[in-house]
Amino acid sequence: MEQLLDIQGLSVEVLNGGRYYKAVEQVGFQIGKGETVGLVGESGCGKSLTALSIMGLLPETARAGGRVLFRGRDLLSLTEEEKCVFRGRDISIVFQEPMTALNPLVPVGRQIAEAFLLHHTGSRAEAREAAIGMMRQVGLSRAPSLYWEYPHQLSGGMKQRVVICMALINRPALLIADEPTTALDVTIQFQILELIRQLNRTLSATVLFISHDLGVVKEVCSRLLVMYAGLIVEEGGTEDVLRHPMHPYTRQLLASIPTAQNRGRDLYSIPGAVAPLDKRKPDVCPFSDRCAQASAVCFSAAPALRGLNGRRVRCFLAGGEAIERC
Amino acid sequence: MIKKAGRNTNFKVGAILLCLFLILLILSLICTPYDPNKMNTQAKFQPPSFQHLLGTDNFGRDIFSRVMKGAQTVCFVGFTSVAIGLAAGFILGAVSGYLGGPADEVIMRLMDAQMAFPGIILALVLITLIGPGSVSTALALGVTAVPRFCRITRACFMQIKELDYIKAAKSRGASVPRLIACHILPNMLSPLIVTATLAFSTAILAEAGLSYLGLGIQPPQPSWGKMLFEAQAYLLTNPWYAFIPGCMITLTVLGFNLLGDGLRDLTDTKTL
Repeated sequence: MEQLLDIQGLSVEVLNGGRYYKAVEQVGFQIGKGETVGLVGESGCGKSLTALSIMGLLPETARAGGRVLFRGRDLLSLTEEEKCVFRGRDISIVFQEPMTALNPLVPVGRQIAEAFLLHHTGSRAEAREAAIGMMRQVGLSRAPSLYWEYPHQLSGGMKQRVVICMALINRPALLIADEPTTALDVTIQFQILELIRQLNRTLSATVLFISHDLGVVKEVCSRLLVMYAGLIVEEGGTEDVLRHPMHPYTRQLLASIPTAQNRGRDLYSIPGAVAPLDKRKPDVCPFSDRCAQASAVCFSAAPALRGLNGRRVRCFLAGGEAIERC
Repeated sequence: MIKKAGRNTNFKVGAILLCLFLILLILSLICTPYDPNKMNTQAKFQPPSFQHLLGTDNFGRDIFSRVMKGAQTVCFVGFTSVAIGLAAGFILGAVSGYLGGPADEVIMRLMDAQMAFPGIILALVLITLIGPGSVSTALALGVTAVPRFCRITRACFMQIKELDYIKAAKSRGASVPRLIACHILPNMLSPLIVTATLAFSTAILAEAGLSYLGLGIQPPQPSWGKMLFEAQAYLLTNPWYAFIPGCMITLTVLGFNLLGDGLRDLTDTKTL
């Protein structure tokens, strides 16, 4: 499969109180053309920072290292002008919060048309046609009149469709969806997921889907990356990872999903919390302090991401041989 | 919005006062009852009558005509100084708020230095340097208004540039000038307009003060502040002469202040 995005050794450092802390470390993965890849992990594990560094939208207090190759070009080394060209044309992003992702003073249609005009030399009328066409495609009814409406007149689900419209109007090769359904209620969530799946098929868009919700990710993604404390801890096909999770973190994450079987009982939650940036220890397993299976080896060194049965996992205990030891 | 404006007393009273001011201004552009500078020594200190609606001054000039002409001066100085202050303040504030870092530090310390200096004294120094007159008055008052606009612009920029829709616009590939013109500026218009309205009234007051001191508008060009100064000598014998320009200054400044306050209440979007 042709590689569209190839991230190598990406690290993001965040400035906090005059010091830089590593919030994302040694993140490396590939996304093939047409694939839908999920990136999961709890809040604060570096998912969004990874997405923002692909887009070159990191806040001023953060800096990225490593390489982000998109069609062989390193996005991290682009100048500001070059970034303006690829953003929105080659790679687009849908943010989590549709309520605030739209300028309150500009009609929604014109915001979609703006995205079109920034990358096409067309007239305003053409941009309007394109915008209305795209609005129909994402299932917004009465698109021509909706074009002139302001964000406050739209519901949350409609706004998220508008945001998706904006991201897709230039047919980007890669769509990054950063928790696109988190702020929506469950029925709308399902519709948006259905829409992303359908657009992935019809527009053959490659999707990097970021979420903290494994239930959502398994609906749309063929491959899964699990992140913890700025590191990728497990990677593999969605089915494999969900059926046979190798990393204890993934296992516990799965155990925390409410299902019909554990109805009425207390919901399982992973004890503890992700260590804050200044308390992270680089020389032990990052999950060791919350892991039920942690053994001496986990506190002695940091595990590397290693290949195992066609998947990758960052755990000493995975694969059987170490589990017997503990 | 219009309904809300109708219920806001500040806004209503301010708007009415300014409408009266505007009517006076427009009429003065068409014609005045007398030539405002024509002296008539036979008709000095006439009390208000049908011939001279507001009486005549110490040179026998028609006060009503001079008040009308004075409105033009007020308007010129107000608009020019606010325009200068707004333009310079916006550019400095935008650079400061958008870039941050050393540029922000340098600009803000310069503004602090200027604010530490009393505005009217700074204006006096500037006028002494470039010479009195309506243009230099407007320029001097414009310069003193810069920090005010600079600070409000900076604050708005710092707040708005972090918002999601700015990030979203960036992710579409919008360039920085486009980001500022289409997405940041429209969202900070209301505080800017309110500040401009209030700065207008400050400018009127300062112009009257400077003219009173003899450094602002030069005779025979009519100015309310200058009229007040001239009337001072005859306060006991002809009180209405001082009363009229004083009233005009008070009402106009009051009008702008009330309008500014009303606009601030009306455009306050804390709930958004």
